[in-house]
Amino acid sequence: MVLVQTTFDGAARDQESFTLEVHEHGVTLTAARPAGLLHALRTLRQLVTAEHTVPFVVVRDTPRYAWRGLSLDVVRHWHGPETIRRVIDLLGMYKLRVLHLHLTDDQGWRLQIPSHPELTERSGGTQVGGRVPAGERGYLTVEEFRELQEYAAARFIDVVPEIDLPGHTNAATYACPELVPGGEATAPYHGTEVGFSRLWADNPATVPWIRDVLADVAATTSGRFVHVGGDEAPALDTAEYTRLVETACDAVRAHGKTPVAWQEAAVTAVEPGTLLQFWDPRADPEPLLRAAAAGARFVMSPASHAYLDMKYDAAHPLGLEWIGYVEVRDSYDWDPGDAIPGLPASAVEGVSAALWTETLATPEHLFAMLLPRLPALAEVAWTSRRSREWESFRTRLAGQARLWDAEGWAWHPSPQVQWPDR
Amino acid sequence: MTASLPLVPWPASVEPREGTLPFAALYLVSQAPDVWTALAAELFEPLGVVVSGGETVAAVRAGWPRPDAGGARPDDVRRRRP
Repeated sequence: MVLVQTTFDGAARDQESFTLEVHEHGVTLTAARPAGLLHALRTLRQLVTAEHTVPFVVVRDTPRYAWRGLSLDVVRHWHGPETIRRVIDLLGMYKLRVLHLHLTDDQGWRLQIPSHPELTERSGGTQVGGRVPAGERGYLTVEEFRELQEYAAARFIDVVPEIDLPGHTNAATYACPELVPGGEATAPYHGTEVGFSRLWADNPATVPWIRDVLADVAATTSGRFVHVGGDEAPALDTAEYTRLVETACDAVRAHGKTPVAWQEAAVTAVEPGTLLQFWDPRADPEPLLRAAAAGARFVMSPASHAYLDMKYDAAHPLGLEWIGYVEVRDSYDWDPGDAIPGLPASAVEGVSAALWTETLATPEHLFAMLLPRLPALAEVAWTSRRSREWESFRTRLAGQARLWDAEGWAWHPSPQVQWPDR
Repeated sequence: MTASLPLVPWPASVEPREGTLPFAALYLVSQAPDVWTALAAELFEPLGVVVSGGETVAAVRAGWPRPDAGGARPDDVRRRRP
């Protein structure tokens, strides 16, 4: 039996830094805070060989970015608490700190809202193709959401809920007819198109509804951030869009949280500290640079590198291809500091992979798209640019397959990596 | 950078040394063993590593030092740190 000694060192640089020493007498893990200690344990885990030995080594480590995350869509296809817990386990394995849950969209509403129970009563059970599987409720109760956050927090992972508006709102207008001018609910939507749904700023029910919903979400969120969406709303003109996104951001701030929004929200009056999530590299960067000058910070999720719902190649049976194919090397060979031309490096908060689930109906589908690309993005977010190198990464990545198999996780054997025999 | 250590993400600093440590079972010493031993079990037991743990005093009570620990006691390990 080996002695593994944990100690806290107040002189360490930040809450995530750690030192790991494997020596002839055992293992010593040193960190300033518990999060760093858990990172050290996770590093030790990766060093355990199939023969149950660990090489003598000294590792000193600290992350490049604080925001290292995954944006997970549980709307297009419903993925429940047990699957989300397994995803949290995967995030932890690669030292990711943020799980952003996309909880509302055209196809469904996945979080119970006490002030508007009709949202989940009517839209909780719908998804792409029709209804969620038999026996599934299709949404998180407030208590389940709390329990998920507790599970994540025990692993030093924050959960960021997203209520997507003012587009991507058909599940809301199906459940709440007062949101539609004339008062007639929209039909449920089971397809995969985007950009057709909307809220109406001049409808007297809209702003109180936004405030009610975000107050409830903020009240059940233990972390600092609430995501208000703001993407793909071409049905609204700029003035109406701006009014509703600013209403949402104000509501989030009124409850002590920091708003996060997709990059389109750069055209609004962005307040300092607001996080914008960059996803579409085809967009004009000028509004983003103006938002950065106003104090916005950026989470980088460029679709051509970080959208893990993209197919690996033309033959892959799962995923989409609107931005092209995203192989492992595409997820690895980029730098967050270059993602938006002209953006100051100091405006980059971090990196988030994104997994949309139009074609992903089962946990196996999720994991086969996450693995092996999520570890590539984890290294982009954690490791300094000068310490990253593809040939080294793909060799080290091959060594991870044993850990995935031990967990029973599905993964895609990308031809870009020489995997060990299974 | 060496690819011989299967670490992802790659750390800021890695200093490989000569030798290996047998790692079929571990005893984790921590200030909150109810938390940390459980987390260690979650991480290491899927790999077939047997996990136990306790506070420093409990570690001594559990039989440390042991021959396969090179004679080190938990306190010795702490003192050897720079």
